[in-house]
Amino acid sequence: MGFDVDIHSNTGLFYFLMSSYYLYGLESDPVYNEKELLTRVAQSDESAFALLVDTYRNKVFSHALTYIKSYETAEELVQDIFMKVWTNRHRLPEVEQFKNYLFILGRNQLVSAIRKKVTITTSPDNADLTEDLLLPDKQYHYKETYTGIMKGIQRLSPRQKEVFILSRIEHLSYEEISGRLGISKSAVKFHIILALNFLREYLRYSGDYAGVFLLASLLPFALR
Amino acid sequence: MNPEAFKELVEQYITGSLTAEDRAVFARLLEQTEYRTLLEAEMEHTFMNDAYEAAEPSQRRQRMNRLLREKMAAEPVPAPTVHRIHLLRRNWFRVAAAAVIILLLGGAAFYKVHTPAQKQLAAVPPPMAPEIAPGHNGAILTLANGSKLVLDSLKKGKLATQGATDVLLDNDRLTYQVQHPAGAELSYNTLTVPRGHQFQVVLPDGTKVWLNAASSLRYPTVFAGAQRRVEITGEAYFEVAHNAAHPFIVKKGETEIKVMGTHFNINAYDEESSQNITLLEGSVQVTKDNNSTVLKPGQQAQVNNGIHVADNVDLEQVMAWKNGKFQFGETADIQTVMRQIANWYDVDVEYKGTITNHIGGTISRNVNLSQVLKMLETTGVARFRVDGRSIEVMPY
Repeated sequence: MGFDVDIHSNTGLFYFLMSSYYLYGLESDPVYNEKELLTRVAQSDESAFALLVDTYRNKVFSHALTYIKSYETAEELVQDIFMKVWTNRHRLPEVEQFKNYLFILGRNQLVSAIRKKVTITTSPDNADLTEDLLLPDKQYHYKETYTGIMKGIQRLSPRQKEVFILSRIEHLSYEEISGRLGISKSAVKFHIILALNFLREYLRYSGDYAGVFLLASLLPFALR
Repeated sequence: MNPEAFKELVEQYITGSLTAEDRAVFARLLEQTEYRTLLEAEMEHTFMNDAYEAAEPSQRRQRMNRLLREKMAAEPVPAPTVHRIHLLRRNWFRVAAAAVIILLLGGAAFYKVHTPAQKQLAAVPPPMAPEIAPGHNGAILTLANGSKLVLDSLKKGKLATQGATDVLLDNDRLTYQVQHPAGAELSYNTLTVPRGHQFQVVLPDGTKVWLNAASSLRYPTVFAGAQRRVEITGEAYFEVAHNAAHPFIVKKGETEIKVMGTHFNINAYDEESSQNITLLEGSVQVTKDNNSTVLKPGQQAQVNNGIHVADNVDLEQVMAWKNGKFQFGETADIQTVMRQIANWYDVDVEYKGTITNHIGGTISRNVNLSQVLKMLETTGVARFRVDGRSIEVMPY
């Protein structure tokens, strides 16, 4: 998937970080031995920990964002999980399956974030924003944000874009999309989830947090 | 509700297609343990299969690594016992890991009175107490725009460009390289070394500065004017690049040290009774208020209300910190010793009772806290009790 988002922060300064670790994929690297890596982390080896984080960071984040649906909360959860790994690194030699251990470390927070999300039926932010949009001086901002969302949709991969527009703008059901595009219903859901995750991140970095709520009110079900 | 129907709700939730009624149903179901367990099982399944993993943008990767490193730097946790093995791999540990010898000076006579058996008992730490590892390289760099970078051994390469200057990090040392000196804008960076750390920087003029724990250095990213001016807190050792036309001036409070090109150490922790400027090579002029004195190599200016010059200072002792050692002369009272330990191991110190005897000797800074305390106990001057990150100091 193409990803070319402008970030309005100083993170551009950090391109140098641990660059050597990104040069090869871990699966294809014969040197990568998870058991040994965990032993090294348990011995407080920070570079081993960096390698471990690199292996799982994106997996943990993608999963958390899917269920939590908030970029900020998902990011915090990822930090929390890896801090727990580091703080309790002495336990790592006893961990049988590290990936499963990662899941367990974040499990409770995931469940409570989901419960919070579905219990708040009407988000006050959302309501305020809709009110705001009725005021004449907010019209410009509204238009700008709408343009931002549409730009984000243009950056989706072709299949995601197709599925997302059929679902969110043409309001077809997943069955209808599945029939029209000749793909399975679960493939439709998969593309929707990836498109939503992409747009959540895109809107965050396009500097318009309100866009997340606006998208929800403009396009039914979009980011709820 | 059967598990399949519940799973359908979960899918509708993540694809954003729950109706308002179903959302309320979903929320109510999640109040029950049985459905929370189903949700957890479903989430575990999708996590283990990387069901929703997409490519990771480099911006996010960098941002998250930075946040994580900041968290790690902010919450140092006591390292497990095995930490020492890891330290052995570090170069500066190898260099400094030479035999540790305690020279019994002040405490020697006292030591003889006690039987070895008693001492052994007293020196054994509580069985399950976690080891407190020694400090290591690390610092926080504050750029001209106020943003902060955590510097540690994980990083390498160009960190930032500040005006006309590139900021590079390599082998635990920060270096400034001026690219276009002409017409450069004056901007300041600050290098802050927390307790439990040490760091080294090469300034734009080539001057090298070693910073001890709990210290900081503020400097311009280009030395533009007639003078090269920097400010410090805590303790630092300078090897100033020679440039007679542009004197180098180190400022701490009201004290200024003017140098042309020389090696000297400044110990200016606020807790110490005086700021001590010790000259190893060359010549420096120390000024405070209306007092001023020029030091010769081997001399130390002790600055408090006035300036006192001490001759024939033990240079090895002054420079011990930079060489990976604690070294205490016979004038070191227990408070002086413990202040250094507190800064290097990032621990707090509490005194129970009065201790008047002095401690002398040399101990490596690269061993765990418990070992340092054990060695100090063998002087018979004090006993220690460690509780978490605080140390109780008692008369022997």
